[in-house]
Amino acid sequence: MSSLAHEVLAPASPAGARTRLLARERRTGYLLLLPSAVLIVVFFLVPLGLTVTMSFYDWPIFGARRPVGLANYAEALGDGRFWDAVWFTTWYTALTSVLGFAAALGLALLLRPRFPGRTIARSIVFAPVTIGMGVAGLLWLTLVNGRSGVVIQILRTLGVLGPEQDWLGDGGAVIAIAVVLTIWKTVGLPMLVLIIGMDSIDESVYEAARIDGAGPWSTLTRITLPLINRPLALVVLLTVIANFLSFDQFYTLSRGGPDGATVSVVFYLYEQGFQAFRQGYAAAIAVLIALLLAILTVIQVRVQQRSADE
Amino acid sequence: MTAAKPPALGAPAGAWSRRSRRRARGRTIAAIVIAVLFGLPIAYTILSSFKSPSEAAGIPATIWPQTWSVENYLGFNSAGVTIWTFIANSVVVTLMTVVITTVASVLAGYVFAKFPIRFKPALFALFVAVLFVPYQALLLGIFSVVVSLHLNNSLFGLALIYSTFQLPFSVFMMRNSFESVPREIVEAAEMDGCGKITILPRVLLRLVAPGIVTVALFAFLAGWNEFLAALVLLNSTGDFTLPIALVSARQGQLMTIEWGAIQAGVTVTMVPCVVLFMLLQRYYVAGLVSGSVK
Repeated sequence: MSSLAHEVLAPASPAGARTRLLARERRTGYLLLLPSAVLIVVFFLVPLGLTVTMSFYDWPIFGARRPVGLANYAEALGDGRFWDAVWFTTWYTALTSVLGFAAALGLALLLRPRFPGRTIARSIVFAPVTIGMGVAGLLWLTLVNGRSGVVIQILRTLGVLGPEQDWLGDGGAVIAIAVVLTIWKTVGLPMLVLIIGMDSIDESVYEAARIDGAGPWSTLTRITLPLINRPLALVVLLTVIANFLSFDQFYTLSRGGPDGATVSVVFYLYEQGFQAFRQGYAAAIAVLIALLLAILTVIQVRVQQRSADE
Repeated sequence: MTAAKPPALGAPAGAWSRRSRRRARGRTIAAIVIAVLFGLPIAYTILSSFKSPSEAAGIPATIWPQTWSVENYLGFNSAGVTIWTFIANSVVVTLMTVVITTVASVLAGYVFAKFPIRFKPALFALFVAVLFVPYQALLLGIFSVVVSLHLNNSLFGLALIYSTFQLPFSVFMMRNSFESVPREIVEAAEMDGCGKITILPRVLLRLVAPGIVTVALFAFLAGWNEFLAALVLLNSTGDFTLPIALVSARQGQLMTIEWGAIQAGVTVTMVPCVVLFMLLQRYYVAGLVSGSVK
């Protein structure tokens, strides 16, 4: 019956009816798009415009706002604490990303082939990824704090640490803990992406390499990694960005301390904007962070493209 | 078993299988060591949360609780607000985030896949653009918007923000799901007299269900775990979500920290995520694949 109706109606309906139908479908489409479009406008586009505008103003919570031109940017560029934060965040990002990627690669090679217990081992390594970073910071604080921390007690028993030594007072030790906890919490994700990528390579490619006498190392660097270039590039980019924007673990583990040793750029932004309430100045820092990230992304994409071309 | 086969080149078959079996055993042992190292912090925290408060704070540390107790859970509070309030707040924010994200992205994904709208690529690019500006850098602007909408100190306002920043991934995911529905199914349903709207609940939702589960799972983890925006936007203890309540408990009263209570709070916050992931792994991986392969 329906196909009959179709046959009867189709030739009879003039072009006008079809355009009317198209117009109605279009209107329905815009209507269905409305909820998400409103969210994007209200909580993304407007805040984006506002933040950029604020960065050119002296913008206290109460009282008059006044335009100050580029003064906020000039202040940021001459602010030693801001540069300290940029410097710390940069090398922390480099260190955590390189170590984290090496760990992810090692884990992927270990946990990819079929062996008894593979699924459960993968799940356990991946489980910390689903925990929040702030909560992970607190979890590690309970493990390493100087009073009840089990890790510190083991190290004291082994004689590595003195009885009164508390490494939360030592900047280097706190950063080392932050690196370990970040890798523990995040490494499952790049590991899984690497495994998925490696599984997608045809077995015959490996066989051909074996016949040509390629060892495990050259198989990895010459065949496996180049063949999964695209997911690899994405995962490296996302890791670097996430590390550069670190805040939660520094806030929960060490409050940016000791002595500001773990104040990342986002931490500094939070301090200026939401504790000192210097919103105009903080907005300028926010814009600078976004620009830094954009530059980082462009450089990384360029490097990746060049290495892909070779 | 191997004796019947002709010997392989280079090494006899028996030696080969023995070596690969030994290698598999080595791999299993290495994997067990790794899994224990990764799982131990979680397991130790869960066990500690069931110790008595004095045992949890005590030296020397114990692994297995000497007496099992839920006192740490009952003792977890911040300025007199109990753990139940924080759990309820987290559940409310997370459920709202999941519902708003899922509904908005299903509708938008459907439109991007099956509707003849104008400026489609430009509109889609607008959604993707969200990925290129970190939300941390927008927090000042978001804060102003939220205050002027009187949504500060509101769990609903927080859920709206979380949903917005879940949209790029979720809309992308749902668009791909709807695109993989064959055109014939849509046309057949339309011929049966179903409109484009009625076909959605009657036919299509079932077909894109795996995508919906993936989107909901990612929205759950985002809403449950988010830290910075909640820290900035929630001011009164009664509104705190679990991660923020944990931080204020960390500060402690009179400079003493109840370690056992924090471990109880950490357990309550992380266990739902781990369990949900274990149950829905398949969908999590599906999200990863669609995200990374594109």
